[in-house]
Amino acid sequence: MNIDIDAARQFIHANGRVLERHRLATLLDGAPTEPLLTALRAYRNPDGGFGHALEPDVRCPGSQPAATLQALEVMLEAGVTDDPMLDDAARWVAAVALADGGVPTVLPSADGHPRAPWMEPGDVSGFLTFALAGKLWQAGVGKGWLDAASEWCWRELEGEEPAGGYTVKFAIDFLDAVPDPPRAAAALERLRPALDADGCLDVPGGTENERLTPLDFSPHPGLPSRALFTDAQIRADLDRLEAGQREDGGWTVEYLQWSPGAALDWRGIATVLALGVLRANGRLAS
Amino acid sequence: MAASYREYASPRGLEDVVGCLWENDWVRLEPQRVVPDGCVDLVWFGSSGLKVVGADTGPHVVEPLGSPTAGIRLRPGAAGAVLGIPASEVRDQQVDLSLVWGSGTDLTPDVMSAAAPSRRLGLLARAVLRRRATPDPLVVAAARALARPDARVGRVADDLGVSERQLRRRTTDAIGYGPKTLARVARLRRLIALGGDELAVRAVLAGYASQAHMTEEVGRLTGLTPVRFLKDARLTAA
Repeated sequence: MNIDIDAARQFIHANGRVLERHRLATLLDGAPTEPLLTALRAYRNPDGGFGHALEPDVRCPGSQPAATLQALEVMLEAGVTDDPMLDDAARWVAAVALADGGVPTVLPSADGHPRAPWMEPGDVSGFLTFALAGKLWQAGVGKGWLDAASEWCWRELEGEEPAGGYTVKFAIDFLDAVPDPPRAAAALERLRPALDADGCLDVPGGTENERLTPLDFSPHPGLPSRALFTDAQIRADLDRLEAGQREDGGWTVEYLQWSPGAALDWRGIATVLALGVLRANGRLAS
Repeated sequence: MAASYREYASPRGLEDVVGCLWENDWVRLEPQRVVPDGCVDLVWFGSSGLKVVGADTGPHVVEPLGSPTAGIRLRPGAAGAVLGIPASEVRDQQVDLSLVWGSGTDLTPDVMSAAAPSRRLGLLARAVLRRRATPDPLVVAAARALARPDARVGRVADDLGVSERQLRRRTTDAIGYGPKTLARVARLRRLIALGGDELAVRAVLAGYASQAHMTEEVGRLTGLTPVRFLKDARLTAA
């Protein structure tokens, strides 16, 4: 065990957003979720969606799928399943969905605002549809849209085109949550050839070191997606994650650092996520 | 033949209440012995419909069935919350699910019959997801504590800060039987999980006081001697 929890706390207190401070308190100290939800509310818009760079790579005030996904992630991570923000977020997703059931990756409200080079507004359904559907299934909200979105996801997964890059990660998020175990197990098997011998996946067009690893795909024990990985692959990736704590106590991300604020925001998020994953896999004393 | 039985991990959002989902395509010709595992299952029995199979306190023999089966296994401690009634009301029994959930559910034998076999587990999972149930945390903690080889019911109740009587009531509501039976079932599962051949050693490691104690308890729970029982025993997810 070579994780320095105190150093991780210091990192978040020195650099993290208010939101990550409360996530850390909830995760490590079992703090009540109300301050966390209050911090989250600051990113929320009256339409029920989330914006304001809650997802650091789209830095517009308006509601965006990426930011709304982060909000769902934060609530579910803290075990919140009964806050009205969940239902409102689900309604917002349904309102911006396209006729085919999917959701664009970036909405036009990002126009004219700073964002990562890969976050271009568009009007076709994108891979965040998988991730959003996964989170809403997990939260048990969003019944109407979920059926249409799930059909979109199944069409993509069961079509001819093999998935690559982040699509694989988000597709696995969907498959871990959709309550359709035999169909999900078969679809997971079809994704297996995308992974290399270590269970990793190089991100095409990413930075030199950018790879998705077994814990990116399958962060918690007991998930259906764990069937894709051997115990040795998971252990090796946990070793890698443990070793990823930096001198300053925080973790970091490999993707392109295109703005100082976004880079620091991501490090706070990565630090909370790393501690959560290490905890869930028994690498952090509870 | 083993390949006809498959287990699937619980979808995200149901991990707290669902141990696994399973299906069995094999149309059995022989009766099958079912032994206690602390779980309540919701099972589609084909023409016999949709049933709650309560937690068992002893062995029972299931007659051969003319159709494939599919089910969802609720974790120890989750059954009461998912069913909406004390789990003790279905102990050692199979009850029509409609009698437990009433007519307010869209999961009916008609819906299940009409569904393609590959969709039936999905329908079961959705129905449980919609119950939005949370297991009784006290019982979950007790089940975890009682699964340790040296566990004693009195100590576990003390550690959890409740009286033995209170622990028994909560456990009976959530699982279907009390902590003593739960401890015996946990011991049986440990015995299966241990593997190896030396029975006397397995008995001690599993937490039995002696080999005689093991023989007596295994006999009560399974109706078999340890040697005969362990020959075919297989650990199912819970």
